[in-house]
Amino acid sequence: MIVEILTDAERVALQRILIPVADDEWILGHRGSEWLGLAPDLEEDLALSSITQDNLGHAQLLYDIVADLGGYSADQWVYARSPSEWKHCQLVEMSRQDWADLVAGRFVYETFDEMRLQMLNLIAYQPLQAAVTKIRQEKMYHLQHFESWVDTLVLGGQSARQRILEALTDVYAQIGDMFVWEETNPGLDLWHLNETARGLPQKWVTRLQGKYESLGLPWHTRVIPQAESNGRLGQHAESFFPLWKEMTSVREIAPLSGW
Amino acid sequence: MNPQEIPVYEVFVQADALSFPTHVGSLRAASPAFALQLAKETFCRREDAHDVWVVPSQAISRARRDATAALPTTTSDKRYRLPSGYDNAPHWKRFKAQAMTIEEVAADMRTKGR
Amino acid sequence: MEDAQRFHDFMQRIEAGEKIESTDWMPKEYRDLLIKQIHMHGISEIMGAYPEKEWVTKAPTIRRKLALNAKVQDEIGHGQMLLRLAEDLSRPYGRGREELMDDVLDGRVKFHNVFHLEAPTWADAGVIGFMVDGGAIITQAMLLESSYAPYARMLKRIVAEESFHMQHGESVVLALAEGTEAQRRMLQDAIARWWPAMMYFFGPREMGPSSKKMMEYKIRTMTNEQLRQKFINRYVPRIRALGMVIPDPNLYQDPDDHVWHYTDPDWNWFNEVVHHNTGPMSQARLALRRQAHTEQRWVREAAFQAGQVLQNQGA
Repeated sequence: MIVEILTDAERVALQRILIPVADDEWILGHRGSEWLGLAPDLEEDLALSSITQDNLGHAQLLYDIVADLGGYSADQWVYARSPSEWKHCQLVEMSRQDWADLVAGRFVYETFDEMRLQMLNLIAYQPLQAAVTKIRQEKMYHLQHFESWVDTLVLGGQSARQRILEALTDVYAQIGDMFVWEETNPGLDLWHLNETARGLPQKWVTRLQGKYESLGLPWHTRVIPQAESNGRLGQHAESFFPLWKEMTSVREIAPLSGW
Repeated sequence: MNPQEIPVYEVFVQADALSFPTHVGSLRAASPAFALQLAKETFCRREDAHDVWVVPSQAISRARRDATAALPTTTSDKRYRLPSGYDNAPHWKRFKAQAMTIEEVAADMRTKGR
Repeated sequence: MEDAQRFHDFMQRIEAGEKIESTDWMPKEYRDLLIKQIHMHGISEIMGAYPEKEWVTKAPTIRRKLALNAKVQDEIGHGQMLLRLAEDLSRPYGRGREELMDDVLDGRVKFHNVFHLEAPTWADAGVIGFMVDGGAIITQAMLLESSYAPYARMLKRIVAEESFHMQHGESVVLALAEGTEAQRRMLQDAIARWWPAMMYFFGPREMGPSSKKMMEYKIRTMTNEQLRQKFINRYVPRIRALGMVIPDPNLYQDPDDHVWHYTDPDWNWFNEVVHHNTGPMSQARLALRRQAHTEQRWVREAAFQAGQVLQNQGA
């Protein structure tokens, strides 16, 4: 049964499930903003910026749901937390790199995120279901777009093919914490998500392997690498601190004022 | 021209099911599929669309470009085929009946009953 | 037909207020003026993305971050539409997107003075929307009457989007004006920084030969000074209403003829900035454009090649 009211225990549990998801989208949107005016051509600049706005918008939708369950407002979730309170994974906080790296990272993330959203859809809370439906609609375009770019670079000559291949290989080192859920979160039991959550990595590997093989790319049997530092626990790479400082720098001038 | 130039597609947007697709501009894209993806962000950032067409720019022939093609301009008297070429209202009045306009007929069709 | 006769017929169409299409015959001079104008306009939109882009990552609320993202995206979108027009006009010269983009990096096309300047605070991001976009709307609204139909059509779309930019800029400015002392000071400083640049924005009092020619061809329909007067008339009362000071002791409106008098900007300095890219941020912004265009040429080449492969596969 889909409910509109949650118990106190459920509220806290749901907040803890949603914050890492919202954080992933927000940080992705922040990094995406850095690409404004820097995409390989004007048309792509427009496409990437729309995706960035979608990412920020998805984060906002989820922060709003979390805010309605009590505590911080959406803006406070973004601007009032210290770096170690952020729960996004390493992949999304990587600094802006080569176009091939962006394409590889996004393709890998969006493939994962579609599966994660399907899992969130198992939580029978009406506002969340409405949000997830909306997000998935936009996400279809994101995945299609980055998958088209993977295909394009693979078909785009020897050197482009080499670049995307290397990027797809390198990105693998960054995904250790992407699949990690907070194990102590009672929400996984409450909504019977444990099995689905445990199955995500394998599902994802199967999907990627299929893609690699269809493109004639070499596929080495891979295991999801162990996360050296775990973003889901608030452990972040050095590059996150300048991002956080920059993001909060203006608001800090007058934290309680209107902007 | 630089042979490596990415091809140009003309973009037509159909706002809703009952509108004709309208030319809105053009963009560069590597393939028709990519052109469709990019048309969305290039020309529909604010408004929804019912459909989008992309056409390779070079596939379009324009009347203005071709001195021999006839541009659809009317020089002769076409009043016989325009509603404004008719003046039935005074005649109806003579028969004590009301003239009809197409707008009024259409409006009538939108109301249920007689 | 003789060129002299063609020219005569063309000018008669212009005089009669007719609109010209891209495939119509046009004098070389008309084409070249259009290319110069539209190319510069398009490149300015693109270069205009950079000063504001710096502030997207620092935007102080979720809503502002989304709005500023959308605004910068629109600027790139305008650049895309205008470049397409310039590319179509440049076809007889065999010049396409790649070369028109190279031109800015090689100093062959100028961009607006305002985008050579620093935008050191969040208030600058607001003031750019409020004053620069406001100024651009005044120029573009004039160009809606342009004799070149594809330009006029595109501008209709552009002006509609700019009106969101103006609202956004005003909203940022108003929030600062209603804010703390520090926020108001930030706003005052930004207005003082941008005012002289806006006085330059519309061009010299006495228009150059190509601007005059553009008037003759009805590509544009008002003088620089007419545009500047419209701007001053609109912005002075609003800025003063916010309790902000315009840094020009000579600024006053003649009560008889309603003409605004103002201190001239440093024409020589700004000319140097625009013609030789010597502004405080000219080189840094060009470096960003180079990152996008030159350093990623390989991506466009790959896209082109992939497109060919797909076409040959009949996809």
